[in-house]
Amino acid sequence: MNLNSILFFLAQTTTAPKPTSDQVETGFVYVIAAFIAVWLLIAVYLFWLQRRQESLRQEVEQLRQEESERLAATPAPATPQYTELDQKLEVSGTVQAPQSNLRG
Amino acid sequence: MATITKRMDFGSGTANGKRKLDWAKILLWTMLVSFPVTLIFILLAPSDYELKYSQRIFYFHMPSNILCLLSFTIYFIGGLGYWRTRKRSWDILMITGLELGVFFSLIGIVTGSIWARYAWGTFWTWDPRLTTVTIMLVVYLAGWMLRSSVEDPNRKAALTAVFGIIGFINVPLVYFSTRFFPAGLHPIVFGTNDKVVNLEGFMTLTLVISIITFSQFFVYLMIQRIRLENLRDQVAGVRMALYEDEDFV
Amino acid sequence: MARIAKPDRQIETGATRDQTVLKPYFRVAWQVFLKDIRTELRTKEIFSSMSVFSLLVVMVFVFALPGKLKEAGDVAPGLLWIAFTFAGVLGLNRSFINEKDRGSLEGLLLAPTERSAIFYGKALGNFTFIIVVELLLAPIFSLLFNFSVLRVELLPVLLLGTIGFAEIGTLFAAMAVNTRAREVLLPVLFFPIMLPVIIAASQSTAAILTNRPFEEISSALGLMFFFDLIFLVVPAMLFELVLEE
Repeated sequence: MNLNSILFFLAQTTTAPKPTSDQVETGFVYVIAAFIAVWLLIAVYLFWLQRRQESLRQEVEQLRQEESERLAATPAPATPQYTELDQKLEVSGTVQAPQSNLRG
Repeated sequence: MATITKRMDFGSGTANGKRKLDWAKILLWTMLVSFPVTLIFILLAPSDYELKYSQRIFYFHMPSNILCLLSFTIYFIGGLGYWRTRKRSWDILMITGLELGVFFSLIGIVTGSIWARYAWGTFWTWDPRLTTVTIMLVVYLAGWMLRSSVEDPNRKAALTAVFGIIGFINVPLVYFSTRFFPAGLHPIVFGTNDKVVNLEGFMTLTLVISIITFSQFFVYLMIQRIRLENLRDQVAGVRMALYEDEDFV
Repeated sequence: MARIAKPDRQIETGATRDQTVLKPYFRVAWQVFLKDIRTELRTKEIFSSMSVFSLLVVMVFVFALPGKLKEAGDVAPGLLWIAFTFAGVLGLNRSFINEKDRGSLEGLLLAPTERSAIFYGKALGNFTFIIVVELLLAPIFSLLFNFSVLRVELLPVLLLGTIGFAEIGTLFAAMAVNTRAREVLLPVLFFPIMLPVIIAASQSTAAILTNRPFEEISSALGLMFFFDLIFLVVPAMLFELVLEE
C-alpha cells in the first residue's frame, strides 16, 4: 500500500476525477497530499488548543459560581473578602445571584 | 454578539473595563485574505524543470521549518529571560515556543517526507539535515515530557528554562547542517555560496508571500497559546482565593 | 532554602582577595569530588552496578547477534558506545538520587560558595566512575567479541565522549531527581541531547579501528570538542536554577 494507491482509492470514493498518470508523474498528487496533511495537522492543533481553552474557561466559570455561593451562604461582611483579587482577575464584574452548584 | 465577544476576550483580559485591541481577531481576518492569495500564487508559480509540480510543496515546507527554528529560538530566549528574572511571563513564552516548535517541525517533516517520496523515491533518508532535525524534535519532545513530570510551578519553569537553554545547541546544528556537511541532499536557499539554489523571480515572490502568511498564522497561534496559559493562571488564582481559608494547594 | 553566611577563613589568615574568592570555590569542588570517591570506595554501590550492568549489556549483544559476525568491526564501535552510554546513565542516576535519599543534598547545598562548584565536583566524580568502567569494559568487550578495541588512538575519543557524558549527565541527573519519574526521566532527557556526541564517537571509533585516515574523523572530533566546551560552561551557570527550592 503506497501513497499513490491510497490517493487513488481516496479519489475513487469521491466524484472527483481520478488523477491521471500525468498528474502523478509531475507530482501533482504529492502536492495535494502534502496540502491535506498540513491542513489536518493545523486542524488537529487548533482543535486541541480550543478544547484546552474551553475546559479552563468552564473551570473558571464553575469556580466563580462556587465563590458566589459561598458569599451568599456566609453573612456577607461590609467589604467582601475577595474584592481585591476579584478586580485583578476580573472574575466577577457584578455580584451574581446564587446558582445551583454544578458539582452537585 | 456582545456576550460572545466577552467570552472570547476572557483570556486576553480587558484591563479596567477598557477594550484592548484583539490581535488574534485582526489576524484571523487578515488570514482570510492572505491564505487564498498564497494559494493562488502557489498555483500560478512556474513549475520547476526537474521537480515539476511537486516543487510547490516547498512553499509550505520551508516557511514551517523557518518558523520551527524561530519558535525554538523563542523558547531559548524565554529560558534566558527566566534564568535572569524568574518571572512567570518568560515561562509562558517558553512553553509557547516549545509547543509551536514541535508543531511546526511536525508540519515540516510531514510535508518534507511526502515531497521526498516523489523527488528521492523514499519517504525518509538519513541525510545530515534530516538527522539533525530528527534529533532536535526528539530533544524537544523530551523537554515536553520533563515539563509534564514536574508538579511545582516554579520548579517546572526552572527546569524548562534549563532544558531550553541546553537543547538550543541543536538549532544552529540544524541550520548549518547543509553547510557543514555538504554531502547532504538539501539545498542552501539563503546565502552567496555557489551551491545556493537560485529561485526565479516569481518563485521568490511566492515564497515571500507564503512566509508572510505562515508568520501571521504563527503569531495567531502564539496569541492563542499565551491566552491558554493566562487562563491557567486565572484558574489557579481563583482557586487560591476560593480556598484561602482551607488547607488547599 | 535558607542560605547561611559565608565563613571567610581566608580573610582572617590575611590572604589576598583573589584567593578568598577562588580558593573556597575550588576547594568545595575538590571536596565534593573527594567525598564522592570516598563514599564510593566504601559502598562500591555505583561502580559495581555500573560494571555488572555494562557487562550484561555486552553479553546480551553477544547472544542476540548472529553467532558468526562476518565483520565484527562494523558493529563493534556502535555496540561499545551503547554499552558505555547505558552504563553511564545508570551511574549518573545514582549520583543525585543517593544524595536525595540520604538527605545529604541539603547539606551539600550549604557549601559556602557558588552552586557551580558542586556541579564541577559532581561532574568530575561522575567522569571518574564512567571512565574507570569504560577502561575496564573495553578488554572484556574485546575478549567476548574476539575483536580487539584496545588502541591507544581511541583514548582521545573516549575522553571527549566521556567528558560530554559527565557534564550533561550531571546536570540532567540533578534535574531529574526533583521530578516524578526520576529514574526514567534521565535517559529520556540524556539520550537525545547526547545523540550527536554518540554518533560522532562511534563514527570516529569505527574509523580508528579500521585504520582510516585522520581527516575522516577530524570533524567528528571537532564536534565532540565543541559540545564538551559549551557544556563545560553552560550547565555550571544554570546549576543554581536547577537546585532552587
